[in-house]
Amino acid sequence: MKRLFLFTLLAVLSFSLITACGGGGKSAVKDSSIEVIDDPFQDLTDLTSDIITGGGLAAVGQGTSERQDLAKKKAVTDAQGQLAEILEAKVNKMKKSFQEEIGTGSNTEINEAFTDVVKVLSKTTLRGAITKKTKFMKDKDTGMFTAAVVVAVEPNTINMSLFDEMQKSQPKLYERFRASQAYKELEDEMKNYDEN
Amino acid sequence: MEPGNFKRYLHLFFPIILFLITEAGAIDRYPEWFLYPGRYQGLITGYSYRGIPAESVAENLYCAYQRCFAVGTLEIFDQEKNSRILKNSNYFYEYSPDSVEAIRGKLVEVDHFAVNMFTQDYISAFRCDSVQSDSWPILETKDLNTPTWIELSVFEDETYYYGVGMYTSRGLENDAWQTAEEQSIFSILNYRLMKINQISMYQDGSQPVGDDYQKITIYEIRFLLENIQIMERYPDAPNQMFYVLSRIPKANLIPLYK
Repeated sequence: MKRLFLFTLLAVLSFSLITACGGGGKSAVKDSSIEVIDDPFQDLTDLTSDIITGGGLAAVGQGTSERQDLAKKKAVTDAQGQLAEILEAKVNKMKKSFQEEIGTGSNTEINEAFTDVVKVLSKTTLRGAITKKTKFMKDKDTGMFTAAVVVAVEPNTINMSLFDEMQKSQPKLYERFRASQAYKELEDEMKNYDEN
Repeated sequence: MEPGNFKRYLHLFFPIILFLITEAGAIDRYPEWFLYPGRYQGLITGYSYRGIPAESVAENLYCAYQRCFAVGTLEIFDQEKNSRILKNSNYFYEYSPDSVEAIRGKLVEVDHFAVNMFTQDYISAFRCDSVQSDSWPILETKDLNTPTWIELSVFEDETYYYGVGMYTSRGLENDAWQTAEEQSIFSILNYRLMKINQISMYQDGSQPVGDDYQKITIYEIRFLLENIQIMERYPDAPNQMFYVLSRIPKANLIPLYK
């Protein structure tokens, strides 16, 4: 009995040691659930970066539809919406750097002009936007088309539109000098001023 | 058109087209009278402007700079960290229509240069008399020294107030020079502005610092100006800015506040 007990105890201890030692090895790794997918429109993104680096505005838009032409239209609309946001950010940045350049309280009409023209520019400048590149993908199973486009505005179009708009929105800058009948009233006021 | 004729026309027109294209770009040289008008007393600068001939603009500016009233108001909006924003600008330089009639057609053009061949914009120099035109040096912008006054907005000496105006050179050049010129005069007026009303709003008794307050200040502009002189113009090509320096004798800047 005593031998049986000791034998059983020894077997249990040995089994424990074996499994404990055996537990030092690594367990099997499960396959990663993360899959790296390449951007099918990376070349469009690269083109956009090149345009922006060159001083222009550009954005990649995307659209999906059962019809190829509608997919492209959606993509263009998406890109134009992004361009409007980028343009507003650009104008605000230009305003800030312009203010820092000239200091506040000096050319403050420019500040006002910037604020006013942003909304107008979003409409007018985007008229000069052109679709630089288009790419289509088709899902064979569903038949759905995905279109991606690069819509861009050339640098000259942006700059000329911005400052032309500023000048148009500030007509008083150009009609500020005026020959008027009010001058005579002011002359009379001046005479009274001298006499007093 | 026969091929031979086409080649002949191409040889004839190509230099003209090339000239127009190069001249239509930003100019890089100016006559000395334009950059340093202070050295040429008696010369009046005129800018062709949106179809208006340079002579008409020169007549108006001549009269205004001789004697005018600057009248109106400015509303300045202060908010957050003392940033000042012009809320509304409503002032004009009123000059005599009789003086314009008196000078009409009497200015004599002595020089001019084109700033844009496609838009047919040009800048001219006029005299009141019929003195024969002088010859003046043509200055290249790359050879100009950057004047120190462009760092300032207004300064004074014993006799004069000096004002500096600036405007971006991107866009229509004539408009830019005129705007910078007007801004130089306004700089002097701004130096002498008188506040007539101020409204401040605070949040729950907060101190007027930081982000807790808004303030609107109304300034009155009411001056008699005489003998305004444009002294210098500086085209800062690398930074695309035009600068103008003007001055008014202290004795000829009279505030008319009641």
